[in-house]
Amino acid sequence: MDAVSSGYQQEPHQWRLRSLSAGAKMWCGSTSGFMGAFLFAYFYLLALDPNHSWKIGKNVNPSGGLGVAIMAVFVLSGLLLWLGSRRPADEITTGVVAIVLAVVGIALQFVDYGVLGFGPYRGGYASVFYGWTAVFTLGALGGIYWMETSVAALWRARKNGFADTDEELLRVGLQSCALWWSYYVALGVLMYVVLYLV
Amino acid sequence: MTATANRVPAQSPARQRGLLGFNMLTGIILGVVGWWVFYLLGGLIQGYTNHGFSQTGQNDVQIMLGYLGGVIGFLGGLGFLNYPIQRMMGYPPNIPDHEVEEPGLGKYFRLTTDHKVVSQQYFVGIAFFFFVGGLNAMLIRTELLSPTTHVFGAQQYLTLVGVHGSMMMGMMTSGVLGPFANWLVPLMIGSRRMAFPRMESLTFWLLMAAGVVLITTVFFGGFQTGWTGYEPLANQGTAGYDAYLGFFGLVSISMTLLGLNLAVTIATMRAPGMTWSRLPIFCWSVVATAALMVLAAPMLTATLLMGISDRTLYTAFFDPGLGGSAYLWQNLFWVFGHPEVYVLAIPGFGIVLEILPVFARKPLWGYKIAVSGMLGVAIFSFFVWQHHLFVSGMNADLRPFYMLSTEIISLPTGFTFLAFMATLWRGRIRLTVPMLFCLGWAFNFLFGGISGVFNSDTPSDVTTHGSFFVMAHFHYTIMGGLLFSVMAAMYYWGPKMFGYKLNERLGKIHFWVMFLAFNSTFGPLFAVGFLGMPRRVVTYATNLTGLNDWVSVSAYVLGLSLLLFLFNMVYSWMYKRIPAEDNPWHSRSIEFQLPTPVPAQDFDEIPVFSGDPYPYGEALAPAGAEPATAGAY
Repeated sequence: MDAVSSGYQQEPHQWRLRSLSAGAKMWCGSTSGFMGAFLFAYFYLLALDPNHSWKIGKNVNPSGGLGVAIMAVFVLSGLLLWLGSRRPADEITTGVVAIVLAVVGIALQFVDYGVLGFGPYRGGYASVFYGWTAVFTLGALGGIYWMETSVAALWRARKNGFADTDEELLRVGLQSCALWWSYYVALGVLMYVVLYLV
Repeated sequence: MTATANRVPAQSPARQRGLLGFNMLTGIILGVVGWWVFYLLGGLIQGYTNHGFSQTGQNDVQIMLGYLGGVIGFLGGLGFLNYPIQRMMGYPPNIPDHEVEEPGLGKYFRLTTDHKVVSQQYFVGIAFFFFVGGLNAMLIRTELLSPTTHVFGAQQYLTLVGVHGSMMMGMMTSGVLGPFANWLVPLMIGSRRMAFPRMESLTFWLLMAAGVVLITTVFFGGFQTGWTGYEPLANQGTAGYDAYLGFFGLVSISMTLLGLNLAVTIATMRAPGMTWSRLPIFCWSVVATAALMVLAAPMLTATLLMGISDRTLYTAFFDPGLGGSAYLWQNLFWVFGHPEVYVLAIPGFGIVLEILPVFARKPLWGYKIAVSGMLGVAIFSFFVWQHHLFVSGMNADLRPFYMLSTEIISLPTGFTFLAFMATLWRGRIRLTVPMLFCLGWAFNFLFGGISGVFNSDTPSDVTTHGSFFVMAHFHYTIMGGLLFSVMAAMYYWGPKMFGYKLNERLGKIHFWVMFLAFNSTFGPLFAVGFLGMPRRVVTYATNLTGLNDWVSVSAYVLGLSLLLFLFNMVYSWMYKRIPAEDNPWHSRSIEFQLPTPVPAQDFDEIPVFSGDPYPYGEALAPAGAEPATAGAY
């Protein structure tokens, strides 16, 4: 292969932007694989139902109302971040609200754990329920961290008038975060449909 | 294209880098502290909720939390926790994307964002754990010298087998991508760095933490499941199995991030002119492998979390008595596990096909065929996993599908072999050490592939399943495929990476001893398996003693051959220290047009690529382009 010098000392600016965007999309792929394992476990154990112990005992059902509330809060968080990340004037406000909603979603999940009438040992369903919702909550905590750092970086850069800061990079960072968070919330909707409604 | 050392004066990095700063020593100290703090915390938690966790009779909560605390402390000591805290306050990252030129050895013992230093860290780290895994193999063969006289007990033997398998299958997933892809990919595509340099460093240190976690299993009674960790044996296992879960958990996270980083780098950071159709074949192999890592490894992470929650939170994913299923583990494990086999194998394809044209002095034959072969293998690998469960009592109607899908995967594999053979055809072959290892790779992988057909066919698999035949098969594909290609890469790129020549005579002796010993070790195991010797059993029929003794002695020689390589490195790089030339092989790829050692900033200016990636035997490149070498090779 032949190669000559381009004359450019610095790497093209677009590389960083594309990296963030492509990285977020691939992270969506990884998240799918991760959540796919729990989806597989749900249907596998449901279909197999060894010893008829899919649900051991009575009242192995979570609260539908709380499930819908959790789902609604997360969906709102995802939507707000997605829309806000595309409107520079609102990105910080919507970002903060999205974070607060996500925290509320996690809090509601813990409330749900508190009022459940069954433990994780009450059959295949209970195991998947606890396992899947717990890792979803953990992932949501990671999402909150990502949202917080993206919004905080934009906030500080704006406060300094974007001096010595790559404004476009920060915006693309927030949009990448919004892409993943919206996708994650969509996976969450699938999870809640399977666990609460099916 | 020329590149010289960047003349940027050494800057004082923002973070402290002294002996007591953020480095490996601090990481170890904080890792131990983190272990104890979380371990004690686990004791409090268990005391509080003892009714739920007492069934196993051991404190898995404490141990798992100990591992978590240890890893957090270790990473914190290396400086990885500064970054997130700074970022939460809205400050820009305090670790630079680009490292400056820095003398001394200190950079090898801390968080660094120079992709070449990370690759060297990977090389040394993986070599260490490979040595540990290899040592286990020697102990296994020592035990099998006699069917009746035992050096180890059955449980110890199974732990040796498990640690050997886990170490090799876990750590070696990054055996090529860690040392070589991290070093080569940015250079080959004309970038100065990886897309996410801090993540690159994190993948390495996570892997090191994983290796240590696995070794600690010996303090908790080991584990008897082998590297596959099958339930229900796992559920009955001692606390040593916690180390297995922690180890593969860390490996799977490291794999995912490594694959993501490499895939993004290749997708978005190619220099002008580096189109997909000019991408070096090694980078294509990295693309295929990275796709597997990004998609398959998270499934393992999830599966291990299920296993951990079964042992600590009292869920019952894999407990049939409480609504779970042991088969769930087998399915989920192999959904990851079979792609993982190709995570180990595909980079070897890339290395061999990258090196071959240089020593055949011919363009790579069938570039697109080879690329489609590697991508085809990657895609098909997701549809074959149930062939591992042929004898598990699976639905018989599923067998034909998985038999066919497994056999079909040999087609794209054949594409890469076709490219290999046709590139050799009528080439001006130079039998250098890297080339010898490439030829050895082809021989071994061919045997591994053909024996794989027996395992993909349900009728023959039913008779060979769980026997030494299977073990011989996967050692031919993975060790014969991966290790020989790694050795080819070490002799080919090693001098460029480390700056000093390797002794060629010792290299050739190393190749012949290793090649013959390898085949002498694993070839007879096909027969041993056919004769009915099962895997993971400490004793065997006395009529197999002769064959087993032969294999054990061959294995020792194989081990010695690797020590010979170690000797060559120490002798050549620490004693003789003959500086390596910039382009000793007359290669046309860009990394060999750079000075040796390659400067911290890689290129003075971003390069622009043109022409065929493998123009061997063709006319000179256009005037003005580098390399300015005379004549076509």
